[in-house]
Amino acid sequence: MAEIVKLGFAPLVDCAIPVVAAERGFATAEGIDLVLERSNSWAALRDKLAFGLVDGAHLLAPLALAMHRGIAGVPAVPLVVPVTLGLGNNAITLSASLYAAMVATAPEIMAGPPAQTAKALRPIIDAGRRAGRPPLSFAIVFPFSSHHYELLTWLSNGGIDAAREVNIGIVAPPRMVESLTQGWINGYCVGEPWNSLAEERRIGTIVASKADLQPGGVEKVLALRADWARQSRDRIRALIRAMIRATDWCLDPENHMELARLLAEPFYVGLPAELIASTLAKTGTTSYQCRPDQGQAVSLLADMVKAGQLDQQDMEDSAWLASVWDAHYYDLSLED
Amino acid sequence: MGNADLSILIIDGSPDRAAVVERGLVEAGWVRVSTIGPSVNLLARIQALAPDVIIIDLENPDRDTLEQMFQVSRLVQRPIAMFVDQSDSQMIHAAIEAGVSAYVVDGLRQDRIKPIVETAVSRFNAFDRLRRERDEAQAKLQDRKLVERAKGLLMKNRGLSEEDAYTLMRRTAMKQNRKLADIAQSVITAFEMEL
Repeated sequence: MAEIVKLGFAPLVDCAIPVVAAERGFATAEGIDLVLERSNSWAALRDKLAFGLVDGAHLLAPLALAMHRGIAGVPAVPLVVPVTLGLGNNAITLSASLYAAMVATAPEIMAGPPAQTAKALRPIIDAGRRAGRPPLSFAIVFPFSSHHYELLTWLSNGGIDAAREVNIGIVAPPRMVESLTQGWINGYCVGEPWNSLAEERRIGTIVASKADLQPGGVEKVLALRADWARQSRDRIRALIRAMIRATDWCLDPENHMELARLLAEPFYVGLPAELIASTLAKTGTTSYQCRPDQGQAVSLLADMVKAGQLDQQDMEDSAWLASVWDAHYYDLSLED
Repeated sequence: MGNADLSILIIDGSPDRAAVVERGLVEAGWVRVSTIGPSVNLLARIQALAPDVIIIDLENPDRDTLEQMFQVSRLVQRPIAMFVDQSDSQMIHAAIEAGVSAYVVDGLRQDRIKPIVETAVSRFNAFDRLRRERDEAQAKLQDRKLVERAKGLLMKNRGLSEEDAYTLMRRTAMKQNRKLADIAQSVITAFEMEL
């Protein structure tokens, strides 16, 4: 009898692996009845996972660590990350008017390396302060997100003091484009397809991508409740095998158009397939990787310390990390 | 009931459901209840209303914004998620299941919050049940229309009596283990293709 596994997800291109596992028969082939539940907000996904309404979720990688440590606004809940889901489709998008102002004041910087483009903000921020204008506002998707750390890196490369010179607020991914259109924010860092959508509508321009700022950093993971993961060795092996097969399917360029059409369905991302296909073409096969790598988690912890979310002490006593970022389930699932 | 002093704010993507929850709270004796819909300047509204308790639908994308606002803003008294005080996990579970989340001003006693959350949960559940029933009723009506149309086509084109037409579709549905409305739809499609 098929085991029912409930996973939450957010409407983003990198929810592809669980979606493909459920929709293209990879889960069924492993004896798993994969039930996917969509959430439009990371707080909702967090709560459902923390209180056991789902067994696992497509989750921001640092949020998994924060939940495990009990600093994410809900009581600590032990989690296991047996597979990673998304690398490298975040990007920083600026409003068309801010981008135009930067090109006008510092064309040589804007023509240079994308990671350094925030240097062109300096004259604009200074002029704004002299004129008594409110500071520029940037949005990220959640405090515990690689988006947050990438935006901080970009600003710091430009010599901007993020804590004093700009506002950083939280906006859920499906609300980003609207917020930029309304002028509530001047730019954001989000996963695809929400950057490409802003470019397509000509309201924003992508200035730097994940590859420019934190190459190889992990963005999303599959996080499972540890109590659930430990209940059955067979079940978690079957689940991971389905995810690995789905990843292989996603990596095959032959399948990209079909993947785009699948993600375009209203229940998943709910945007045109052509747009999603163009983001898949952009990030290509580098965007999915599967085996959790301890080094990724350590660098996430360092980012969390830098952002003031975690104590240095926590970073040093990180023995707990091995129980969360646990590749042994992955390796186990490859054995016969 | 001595609830007059507590100010409650309802934020819900569904204005109809917000109205139902608001009415429920007012009827139960809380008088300072207000609602706001999506796409407004949240911080400004919350500052103006200074709520002691905020009830917001769990899936509302504005929750991410709201939580951070509480962390950074000195302008609003700092509400915390009801989840932080875990003294009543049964209530929390029921709330999440119903799709309700709540934020309360720090220090507000648990026994004053609980009845508010419980009222919201029961109203959310009642609203969803009503909506489900309405959707089902609409689907049934739609099915009945299909069956009537298919029956008419069979009577006109095959010279069957009303009863025979119905029995034929019924029997086919049972044989193929499909819904009567599906069979009716197939009949309609078949006749439309012949035209």
